[in-house]
Amino acid sequence: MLTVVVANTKGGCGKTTTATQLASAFARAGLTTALADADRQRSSLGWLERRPSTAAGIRGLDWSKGPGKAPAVERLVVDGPAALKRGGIEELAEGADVVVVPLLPSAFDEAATAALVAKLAALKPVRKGKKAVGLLANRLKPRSRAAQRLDAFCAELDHPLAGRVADRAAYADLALDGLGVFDLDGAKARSWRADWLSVVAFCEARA
Amino acid sequence: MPHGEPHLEFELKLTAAPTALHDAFTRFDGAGEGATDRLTAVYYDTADRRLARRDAALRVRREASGFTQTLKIAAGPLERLEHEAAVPGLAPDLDRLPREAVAQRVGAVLADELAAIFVTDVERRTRVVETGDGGGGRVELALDEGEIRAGDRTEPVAEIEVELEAGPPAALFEIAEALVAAGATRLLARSKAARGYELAAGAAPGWAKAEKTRLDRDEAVGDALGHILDGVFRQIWGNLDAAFDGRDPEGVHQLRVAVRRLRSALTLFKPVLAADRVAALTDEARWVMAELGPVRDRDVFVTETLPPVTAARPNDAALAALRATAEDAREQAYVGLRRAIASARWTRFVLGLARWIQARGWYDDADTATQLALAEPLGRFAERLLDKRAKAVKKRGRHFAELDAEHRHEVRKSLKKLRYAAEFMREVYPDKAAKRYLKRLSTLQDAFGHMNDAATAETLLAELVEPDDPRLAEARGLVLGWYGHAAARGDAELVADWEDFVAAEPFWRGHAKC
Repeated sequence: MLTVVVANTKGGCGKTTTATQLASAFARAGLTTALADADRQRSSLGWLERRPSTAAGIRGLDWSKGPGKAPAVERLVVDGPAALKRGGIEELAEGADVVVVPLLPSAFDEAATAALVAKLAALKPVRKGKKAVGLLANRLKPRSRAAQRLDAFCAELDHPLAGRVADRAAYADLALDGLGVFDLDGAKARSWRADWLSVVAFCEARA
Repeated sequence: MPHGEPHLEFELKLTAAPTALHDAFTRFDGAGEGATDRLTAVYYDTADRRLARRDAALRVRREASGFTQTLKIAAGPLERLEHEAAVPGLAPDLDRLPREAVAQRVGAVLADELAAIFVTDVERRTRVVETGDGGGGRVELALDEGEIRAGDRTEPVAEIEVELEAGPPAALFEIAEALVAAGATRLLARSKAARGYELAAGAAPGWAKAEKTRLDRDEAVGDALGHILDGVFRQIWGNLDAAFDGRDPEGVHQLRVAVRRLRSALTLFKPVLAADRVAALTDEARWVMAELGPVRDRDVFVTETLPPVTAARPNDAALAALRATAEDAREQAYVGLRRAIASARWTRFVLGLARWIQARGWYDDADTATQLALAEPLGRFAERLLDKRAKAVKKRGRHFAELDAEHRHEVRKSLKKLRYAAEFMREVYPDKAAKRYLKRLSTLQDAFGHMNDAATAETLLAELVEPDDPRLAEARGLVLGWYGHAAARGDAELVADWEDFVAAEPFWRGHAKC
């Protein structure tokens, strides 16, 4: 089993979007997949409730009161908690093979993310290369000043950029429909899907 | 639905110079119906080559009858799992594969990620041959001639694929041996897919390290032997093409490691093996090592022995001349090795070994007493064996500091045997204890190796340098001086490493994994 934890101490940076997109990508590829929601708002579980039965199946796990037993699946995606208590980083990274940290192009987001990434980077399994930490630049407006600033910020943190996801209205609709971009076929969704391929590849390199 | 059950393909490939290859193939002309087809196949993968990294290959092939998509997943050196489905055109369609079964083996691969990496384009002539023994063996021979293309690079293809269609694996080996006798004498270990990936990357054929062998202390000795030899064979197979190619010295080095592991497995398991089998395999393995030896000596001389000396005297013309001479000698040695690898003797050795291991032939070779010994649990067998080897080392190394070179060489040889026994059997014991022990063992071996550098360099220099060439004689003096000095310094270290090793806790005593 490969466990991907999506984490950022800062709320509203696209944590649930990232977790649901990854889970639906794995499920669409034919892997048995579970999505564990460790966030008190339980929005990943809400997405799962709205997910149509025709889409590739994903098991939902309520981890909002603390991590439960790991399920017998090939891919486990964890939507991490929004606020971390003491020792929370260690606990979060404990079961993870890959930690994906979504971040937004805003100065306010940078400080919190830099602190989180520094703490993750200090963990022994990460230092030794046994776990991977990847950044995900979220809601990018191409060629905007904020996007350029984000690039510079990512380059400063000593972690690979696992992906760049453009800001699209479609994500709000997908969230309402319980779907991910990989559940959509057809040419229009191709460019939406393209944004996520490098993130999937980043995770799969650890599988 | 589009997809059926996977099919297990059992196949090997032989090649030779064009005329010899044709002659070998046409020997089977009357044997069965023949057909000719032009086959063009496009191979797809993700940008980070995830399919290849998981030993899988996805292709769509245009044939006279239409387009076929095939996903092949390696299941052993000669075995591949194959999923096949008809598709409307050259584009791959993952939805026509059994998604769950495929994902289980190759992980998440999304349709959008796939891009064409290379193309194979061959003219294929086929024959179906039946074995003469009435055992129902049926083998398809396919003579493929054409090329692989990746970007603007191309590589020729000329090979006979030998694939088992029905009957026991022995049928495949029987026909393959007949082809070798008919002149198709060189094995090609890599698939067309592997060659295509290397062509696309501009890389030399890959080489293979020894893998861990999964062993269990309760499994029967005969079964454990099977797992060990499977691993040994995978390593031999995985280095054949790299050794032939020669661009990366690691191919020959790892092939030597693999053959040495084979020999030590045969020695370790001697009590449960038929004497004539061990003798025959050991003779051929010794010949193979003798063919590999000159290349390895020259590779080491050029890539390890000379560089520190030339680094200390970068502008020395005599050393530069010696280097050129050594490189020529290395090229010459590779010419000889390629001839050996392409020979019927070499190929018979590899095929015979594959056949014996595949059939778990030691069970057939065994008399009643040996049958019982083969059924003994591995744990007891391993502990007896390791005790014996460790005792032999300590006995030879008594009063180590005072031993002369000849006696130390004996210590070194017995140490090597212990090392291989310990490497094979470590899987039965807790990892930490084994790791600690093997670390001291290998440190000692390295110290021996460094002491031996001077002797090896001297032997090779005697071959490389004509006595009447004053310039090379000067360079020879520089190299010998360098390593003679290093050896004198290294003696104290060697003795210290010996003491450390003697004090090491044997990991197999009282440490059995529960």
